[in-house]
Amino acid sequence: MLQAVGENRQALRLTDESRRGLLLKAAVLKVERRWGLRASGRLFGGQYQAPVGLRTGLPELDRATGFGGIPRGKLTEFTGPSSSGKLTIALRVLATAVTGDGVAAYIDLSGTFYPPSAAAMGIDLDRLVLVQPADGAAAVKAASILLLSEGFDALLLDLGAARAHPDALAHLTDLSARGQTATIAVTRDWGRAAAALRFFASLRLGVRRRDWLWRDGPLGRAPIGMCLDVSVLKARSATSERNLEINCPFSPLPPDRVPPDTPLPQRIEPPLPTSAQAS
Amino acid sequence: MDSKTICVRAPWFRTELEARAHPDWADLPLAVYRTRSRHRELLDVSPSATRAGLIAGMPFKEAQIRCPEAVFVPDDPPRYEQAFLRILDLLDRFSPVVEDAGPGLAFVDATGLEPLYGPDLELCRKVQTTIKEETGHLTHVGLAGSRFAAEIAARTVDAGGVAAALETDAKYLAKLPLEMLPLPEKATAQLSLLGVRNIGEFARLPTNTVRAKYGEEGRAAQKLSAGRDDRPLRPRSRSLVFEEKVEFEWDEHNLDRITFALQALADRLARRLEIRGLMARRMRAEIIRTDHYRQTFTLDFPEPSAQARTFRDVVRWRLDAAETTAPRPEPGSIEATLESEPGISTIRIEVAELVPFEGKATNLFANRAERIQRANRAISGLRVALGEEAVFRSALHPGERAPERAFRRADAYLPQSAKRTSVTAAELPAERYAAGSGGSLRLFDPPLAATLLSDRTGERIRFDGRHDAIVGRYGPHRLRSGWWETPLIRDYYRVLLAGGAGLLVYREPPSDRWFVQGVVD
Repeated sequence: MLQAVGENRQALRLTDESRRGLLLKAAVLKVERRWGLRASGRLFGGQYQAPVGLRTGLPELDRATGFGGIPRGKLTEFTGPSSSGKLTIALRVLATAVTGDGVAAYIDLSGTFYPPSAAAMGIDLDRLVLVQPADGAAAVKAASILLLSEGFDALLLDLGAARAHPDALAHLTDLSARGQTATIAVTRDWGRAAAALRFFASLRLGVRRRDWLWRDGPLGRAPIGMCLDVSVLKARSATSERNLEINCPFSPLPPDRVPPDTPLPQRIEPPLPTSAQAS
Repeated sequence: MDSKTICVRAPWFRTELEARAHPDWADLPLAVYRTRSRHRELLDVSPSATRAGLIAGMPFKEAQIRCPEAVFVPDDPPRYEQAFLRILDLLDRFSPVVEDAGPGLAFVDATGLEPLYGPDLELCRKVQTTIKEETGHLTHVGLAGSRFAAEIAARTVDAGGVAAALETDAKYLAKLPLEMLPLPEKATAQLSLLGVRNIGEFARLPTNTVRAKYGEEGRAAQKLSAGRDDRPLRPRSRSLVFEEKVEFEWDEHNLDRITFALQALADRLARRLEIRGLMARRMRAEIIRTDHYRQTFTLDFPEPSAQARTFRDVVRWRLDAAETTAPRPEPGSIEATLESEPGISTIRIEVAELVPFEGKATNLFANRAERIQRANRAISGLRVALGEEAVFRSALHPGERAPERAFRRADAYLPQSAKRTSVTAAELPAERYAAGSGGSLRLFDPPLAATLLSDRTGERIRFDGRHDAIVGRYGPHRLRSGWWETPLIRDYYRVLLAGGAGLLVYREPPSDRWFVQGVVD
């Protein structure tokens, strides 16, 4: 009798579990039907795969994002005030992306890209396509075409103060996932960042410069890097950290490794003449 | 005359092209010189250069001495040939046999054209007027029985005139001077001493004697003088072009329906290419709106293509881009009120520069080459959508120190080779000198004018409406251009502001003016 009761309880429990499983499946199907196949994290019925991260060359930052770097197939936003170091980190990611067989694109809406500094940061300019669109809409269109090709490893969208339409950003998010392209948007100020970008970005990093890194040079103290405060404002990963302080040297080429045949610049007197004397 | 030949000669073709490319040269004597021969000589001279004493064939050095104020331009044969194709295309309207005898010279078979275009002189005038109206080039047109006589007619005619040999070629040539014949100068001088002054007298000389004295060259010249030119016209080889178009019977606005028609169009083109076993290197498309606004664009593919999808996508991208680039009436204007949104009326696609189809190895897994191809296709699309100027790669000038000159634009398409050709960081003296020790610099081009102030509290900088204290500076780096360059002296500083910005600043010692050229970001 007791045995029979036990069997019935077991059967009841199994039934409950299978029922729970069926309910779960139905819920997942509902979510997928409403929000798309990627919404459930099953990725077209396969196993969920955590996105691979493109290294930034700053191990602390790679750990903090929770993706092991800047995630491929996702939209990442670097935001911060002018001269904060956000572009420096973004260019480091591009340098990693073009290593080996990689190809990257830079959509330069402000028209201020300076190729020598990119080369000094280790970017192979042969592998970097530059696009200078006329306005924000053209920039998003260019990004769509580049992402649709699935031929690029990283795409840097230097938006500055321009804002992107939410529909366009949704489209970009979807396209980046198709080609496993790390799409990086660089915006000027996190206080005024577009709400749409906040929503669609899988990773948002707020960058502020705490201090400069110095080195004594022949002409005085030379800035050789930046000490940055990076805040992970948003991360769709379980293991992200919130705030960190990192040292970001400017270039893989420190100033003291100048080729020996390059003469050092001479100091010129007077040191700093001014165009006007204020009272 | 059984047969008739027209010679079309554009005597100042090259100089006219150069003058159009550089409008500021319009009033100067202009000469184009040959660069690909051992001795540099003038190839073409403008009328004002002719008046200054320059003639075609003159050695370059002599021309420089004779007319030092003239502009001398090295020749660019591919460009001239490309431009002359336009004239040849116009001549195709008159006759199926057109010979391209080099930039500025063409022959047309005019046999049997009288019923279509009227008398010979009328035909010559029509040819000349058509070329003048369509291309703006002034031509000399001559008509005769043989190509030699026609060329002589075109050479001897007054500027901007036409000439037709109304009698036989022999009679027409008989009165012309002997120098017109393709004879060596020595032979012409000898014949002059013998009293042979014109072509007719040379034609009457005994054939065997001419051959014995001047060889086959003399014999050939005598045949020409008798109006016998055996050289047939060689019709130019016309490159194969496939063209397809779709015309909508109504104003088509619906992008889906346009894409559907476009797909059919692209399929037809791809099918024609497939039947002939060809691939296209170039595509030209024309989109005509119902308000007759015509948008034409040409795209050179990074690699030959015969895929309907490629042709379709290129036009589709352009259609998307056209929404922002096409001119529209001012909002609120009468035109805007009266006109509804214009639709598409016609789409025409032609593919050219066809090459034999080459089989391609199938890759089971995406590899590097395939990814580069995909990326290059996307670059093609961008060039169509945003314009060719908007998409490029950059290359560095390692020896150049001024930041704004340290790089240039390079071809947008990615190279297939994995070998790095770009300059590495270690080869960048310009970067080290001009931009300090690196960092991701945003370059302002042109630089922003700045004012530097100094008082008891310290140094301050004012630029672009901003005003901030300087908390640190590194420099100066004196940048001085070489004697062969535009004079340039700048003292560069890396300046750190209290607000946090890191600037690249320079002072021009001669004028003592300050500029902000970049900001570290």
